[in-house]
Amino acid sequence: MKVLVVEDDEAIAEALVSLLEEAGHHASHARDGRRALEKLRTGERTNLILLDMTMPVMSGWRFREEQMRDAALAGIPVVVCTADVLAAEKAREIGAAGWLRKPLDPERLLEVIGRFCGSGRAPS
Amino acid sequence: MDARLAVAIGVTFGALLMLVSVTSMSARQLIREARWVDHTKDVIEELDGVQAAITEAETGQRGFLITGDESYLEPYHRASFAMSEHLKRIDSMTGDNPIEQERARRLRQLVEERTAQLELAIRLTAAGRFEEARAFIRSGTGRTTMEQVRTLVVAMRSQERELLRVRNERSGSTARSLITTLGIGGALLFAFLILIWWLIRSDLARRNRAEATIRERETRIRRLIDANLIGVLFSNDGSVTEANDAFLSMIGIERGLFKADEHRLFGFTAPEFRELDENCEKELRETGTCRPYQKELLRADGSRVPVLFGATNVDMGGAAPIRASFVVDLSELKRVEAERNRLYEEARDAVKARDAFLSVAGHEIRTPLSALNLIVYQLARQVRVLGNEKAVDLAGRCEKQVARLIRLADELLDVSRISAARLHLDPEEMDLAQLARDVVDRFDESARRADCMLELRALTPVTGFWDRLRLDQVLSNLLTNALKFGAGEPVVVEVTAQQADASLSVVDRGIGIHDTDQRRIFERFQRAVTAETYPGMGLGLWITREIVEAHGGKIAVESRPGAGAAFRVSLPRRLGGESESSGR
Repeated sequence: MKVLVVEDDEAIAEALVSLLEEAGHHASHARDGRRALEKLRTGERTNLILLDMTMPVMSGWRFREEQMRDAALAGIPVVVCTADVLAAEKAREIGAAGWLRKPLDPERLLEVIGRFCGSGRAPS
Repeated sequence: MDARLAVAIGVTFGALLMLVSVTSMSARQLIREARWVDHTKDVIEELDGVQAAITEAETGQRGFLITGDESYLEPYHRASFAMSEHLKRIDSMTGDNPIEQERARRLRQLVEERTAQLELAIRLTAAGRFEEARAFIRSGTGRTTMEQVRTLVVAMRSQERELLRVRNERSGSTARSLITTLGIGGALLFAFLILIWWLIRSDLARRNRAEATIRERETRIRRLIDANLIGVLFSNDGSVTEANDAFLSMIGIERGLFKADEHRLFGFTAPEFRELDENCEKELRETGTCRPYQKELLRADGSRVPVLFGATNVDMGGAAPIRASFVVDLSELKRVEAERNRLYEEARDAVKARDAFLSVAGHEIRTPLSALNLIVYQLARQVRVLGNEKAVDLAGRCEKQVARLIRLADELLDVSRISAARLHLDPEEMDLAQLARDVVDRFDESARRADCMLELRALTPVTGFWDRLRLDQVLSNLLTNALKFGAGEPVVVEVTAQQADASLSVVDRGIGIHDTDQRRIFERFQRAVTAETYPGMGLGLWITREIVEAHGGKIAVESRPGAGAAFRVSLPRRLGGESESSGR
């Protein structure tokens, strides 16, 4: 399972990548939406995107708009990771496959990611 | 004058007039009747006079006849003249009585006849024809005539005496009724005079009392004015007539320099408040009183003073009412009000700043916490793989402390969200009994550490439309408290369902809560125990109550010190019929 972590906080991103690697997934990191798009467009294969919403340069909302415009990328499922209390609402707004609230519960994170394994598509 | 007094005087005067009138009529009647009595007596006297004159004429004639002395004829002539005079008066006096008039005429005839008989005897005697004279006398003609005269006089006298009796009686009756009228009238007049005297006395007493009351009121008003607790102004037709020291001090004019008649009542008002003065003037004209209103007065030095102004008309019995105006200096009140507003603003800003700080701090803390949580989780897993028991224990403790830090950060964020009415719910169809089972399982280790036996009574599913994470928070908070204050005694969690509501209760047998603290513990930063004995921020029950109320539910506590506490939550199974989440 190839997971792209889009997160502006280095410490969180590193811990996430480490956790995912530890759990047997392949994980890479982009510090904002623009860099994430670059990575995806340069052909980095990705099964799931963990997306922070509040980021500098390009926010999660803008990234999702760009992703949906790009037919090659639109199919990749996105799980929103935010500290915002309205996480579920935000996820619905941008048509995300799931949501997780920060501080992230590692077991729940792994459980959500586990749902995407095999199918390549996440349940909503 | 008192109306009763006026009526009494009127009635008395009327009664007096009537009495005078009745008395006057009766008196005139009495006089008339007395005159008739006198008249009757005069007639009787005249009749007696006629009889006496005839007798005297007979005596004189007899003397002459016996002696031939002519000097005896002198009484005869005097009596003849007197007879004529008596008859004339009888004629005129009986003019009102036809019977007596007829009798008088007959008497005159008989008297003339008798006089002629006496005259014949005298003439015969004077001519020396004594025998003829004696024969004439012996014939008895004279005695017969005289007898007729006497009989007639007796009849007339009898008639007049009867008249006299009747007239005397009538006169007596009139006199008696006059006396009675005078007596009754006098008594009535006396009674009315007593009444008038009593009314005048009452009226005077009433007036004295009224005057005393007015004097007392005036004294009180004067005391109020002189006390100078509030400004008092008197005005007449808009011009000031009097002002007390309190008012002068308010507008900054010295008593010695104040000439009342140079000022108008509304002349002290600052220009922008003139319209209020006009309304006051209108109100005074229409109702006699102007309700108090706030305005500013211009002081002698040009500065302003805020006041409360009210006025009322005072009827002093003159043509135009005097106006009394009351002026209260609001300077100190306004200053205190401004200070209070400033303090309120400061306090509100401080609360806002605190909530903003809590929000920012919560977010800022959560970001490193988020990373720390992930790192510690991995660390613990690594340590468990390595199998160092001491390291496993330490990593486990790290995990718990991180989880505790996360809860604290969540509570701080909840404070700012609830304060800003931004508590958000994500309701979903869920089973409260299942949630209770999960939470109780999670608290299993904590319960063991607290030496509390944790019992769950949730036999059947209790479904509803609620925010799962928030209800988890509610039960977690209640359980945390129950274990903290449960004194090692068993704690029971129970979930039951009614038609429209679900109930969740957490009952412990711990230290309990005093009556006075039971309401307070649901308030923000309030605790029933001291931080030294039981640490905490005093937010848990407040957040719990807010979450329950955001669901449209209620939370209550039953407790006695030393007898434990029962927290009971009731939740409607639907959120006001909405399927979407709502914030508060």
